[in-house]
Amino acid sequence: MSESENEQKLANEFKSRFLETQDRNRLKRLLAKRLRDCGWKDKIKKRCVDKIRTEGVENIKLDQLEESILTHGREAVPDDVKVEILQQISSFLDKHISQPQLEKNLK
Amino acid sequence: MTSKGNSKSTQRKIKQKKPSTATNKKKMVTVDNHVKVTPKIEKIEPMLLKQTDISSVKGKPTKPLKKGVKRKAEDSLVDETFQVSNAAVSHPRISQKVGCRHLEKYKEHNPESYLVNFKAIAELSMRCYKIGIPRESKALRHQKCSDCNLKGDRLHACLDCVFIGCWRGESHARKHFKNTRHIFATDVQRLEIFCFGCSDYIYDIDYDNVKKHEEVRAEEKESDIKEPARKRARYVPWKPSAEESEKIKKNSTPFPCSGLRGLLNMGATCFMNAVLQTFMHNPIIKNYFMTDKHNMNICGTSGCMCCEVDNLFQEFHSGEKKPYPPCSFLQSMWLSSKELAGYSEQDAHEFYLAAINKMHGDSHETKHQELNANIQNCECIMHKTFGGCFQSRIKCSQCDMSSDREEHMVEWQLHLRGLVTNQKKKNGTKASQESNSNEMDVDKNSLEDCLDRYCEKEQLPGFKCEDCENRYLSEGESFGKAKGSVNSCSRTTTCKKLPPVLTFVVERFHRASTKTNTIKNEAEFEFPEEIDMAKWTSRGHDVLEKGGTLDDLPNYKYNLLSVVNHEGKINTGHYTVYCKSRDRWFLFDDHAVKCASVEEVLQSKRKAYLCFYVADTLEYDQPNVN
Ligand SMILES: [Zn+2]
Ligand SMILES: [Zn+2]
Ligand SMILES: [Zn+2]
Ligand SMILES: [Zn+2]
Ligand SMILES: [Zn+2]
Ligand SMILES: [Zn+2]
Ligand SMILES: [Zn+2]
Repeated sequence: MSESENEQKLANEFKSRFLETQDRNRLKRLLAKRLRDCGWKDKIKKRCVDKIRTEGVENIKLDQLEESILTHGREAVPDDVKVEILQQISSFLDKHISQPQLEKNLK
Repeated sequence: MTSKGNSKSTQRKIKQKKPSTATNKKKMVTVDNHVKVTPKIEKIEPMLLKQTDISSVKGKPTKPLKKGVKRKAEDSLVDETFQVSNAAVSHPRISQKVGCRHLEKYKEHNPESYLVNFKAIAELSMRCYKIGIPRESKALRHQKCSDCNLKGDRLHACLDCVFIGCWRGESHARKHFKNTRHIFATDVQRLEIFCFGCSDYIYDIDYDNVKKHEEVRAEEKESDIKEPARKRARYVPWKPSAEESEKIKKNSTPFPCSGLRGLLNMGATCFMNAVLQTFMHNPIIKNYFMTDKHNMNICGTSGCMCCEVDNLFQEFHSGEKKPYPPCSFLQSMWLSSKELAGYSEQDAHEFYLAAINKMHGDSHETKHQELNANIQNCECIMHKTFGGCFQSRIKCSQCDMSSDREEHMVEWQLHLRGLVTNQKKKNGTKASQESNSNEMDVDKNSLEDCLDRYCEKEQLPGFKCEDCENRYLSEGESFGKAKGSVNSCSRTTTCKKLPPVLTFVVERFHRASTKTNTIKNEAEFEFPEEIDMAKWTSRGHDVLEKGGTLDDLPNYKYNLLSVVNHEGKINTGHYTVYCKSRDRWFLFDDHAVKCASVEEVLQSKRKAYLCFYVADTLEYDQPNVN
């Protein structure tokens, strides 16, 4: 099995575990709160409203709006929020995917 | 005020001692965002309590008031979610009525059942997401995609069957639509409705009412659980029974038409009075000021025109019937603006433009950038109401060059074909239609004709196509076309973004050259009560050009709102205005206010100067259903 296939398998494993537990919801709520607190949400919302107003409400669809905002939205997330969430995810990994399992998976 | 009785008869004031239980009364006060939350509330409230209004308002569940907290109109709209479809019209009460043609048909086909599934989903959703307490519903909290078992965010439930699908990317919700053609899905958590035909979330008042209703139920349940001792009273929509409405009628005194008041002529100020009346009966401007978005007591800037308009609204809804002298308005206009001072032009159109600029300048929502910079996104009330955008596309017929330019607009100027003047002959007999030499050429000038002509392709002689020229320069003779492709370009102007209120200006005042006097064109201009603007939008134009039909476009219908007329000669003439208020037409002639009929309004073909249309998708006044 190649390296990347292994990684893929691991990622899937991780994903399904992540979904099974409540951690995903907890993290989502945390992220939403952080983004709201740092003003990210307001900024993005403002941008969306501006975009709609410029284009005209009948002329823009949801997908287009999402697309136009996506890159900027990702970039605009403050670094400390990213770091915090990443730390949470890695601690989740540590907790749930124990070493023996990892090895088993990699075989 | 000479307004006649027939509108009085339906408008009844309910005496305070009157009906029902205390709870009912309390609910009535919460009803409508039109109510200004200031001392004015006492003055306006009775007009909202017309019998007809009660039933319509009652049928609509509103969130109960929280203790002592003024319910801000906006809070109900601006939720946690992005209300994408409403974001552009960020005004309370104003929402898309039938934005989606698919839903219109769907309702027609399922008149009995179109809400049933949604109601069930809404109930479930409230139990899963809104009420945090009951353990029994724990299972429900883990709804998942029927196909892939993905749990969590943005699950959408089909409105036609029991399917729940995931959302991101090429989702199972979309797949379900492709397989079954079940066109509507609702976000399980947010209860917004998505139409796969429109590829967008849509808004509909019926679904929204169900949602609000379920929200109230959920809140009630939640407070039962949290504070079982308190025994919260159940919200019951109240429709007066025959007996009750009889009682209301018997014990009520008719309340005069509210919001209708003449304006005294302060010396050739009828041009101003006419335009002000259209502002006063413009639903968006009215909502803005009636919800205290610009309060003269808070702003207090001297010479602020928004304050002056706020003052007018107070005066119009004070219950006072005598015509109002707009002295302070006139004064602050003189003091503040050179354009308006002197009003030598006495032109309603000029005043309309000047008022927009002035109120734009005075508004608190205006982004204080240089004027004209980014005016497209200006959030002042005037630009939000009247601001749209034209697109002019220059196209070359020899190469593929096509370039678009956008232009902000607050009015749509319509050119009349042919010239008809009306002059008195020396012997005093009225010469009807003494026109210039082209009388035979006088075209039909309906609004539709004028718009067709406006959006017609127009050749641009002498306009050089840069692309062609560059290709000629680089490819030389092999490009084939002669260098002088000067006449290959054409321009088409269409409306890219229609404003909520469309202003048409009929070019009646005509000046052939600087040497000649301005003359007034009294050619007939026919305008309809309703118009579908789809054809003249950039989007509609493109669709038609590709041979498509306008059926799949959003609703671009507009309804006539007011008409400013100019009567008589150019300098001695007089302005009057027809406005629609609470579904009835009135003629405002300075101090006088008269009832009018729509036929009468549409007959003013020779006088119409400014015509205002309001988007049909805006929902404002509850119509008077008798
Ligand atoms: Zn799925
Ligand atoms: Zn279905
Ligand atoms: Zn649709
Ligand atoms: Zn002010
Ligand atoms: Zn503005
Ligand atoms: Zn060309
Ligand atoms: Zn006059």
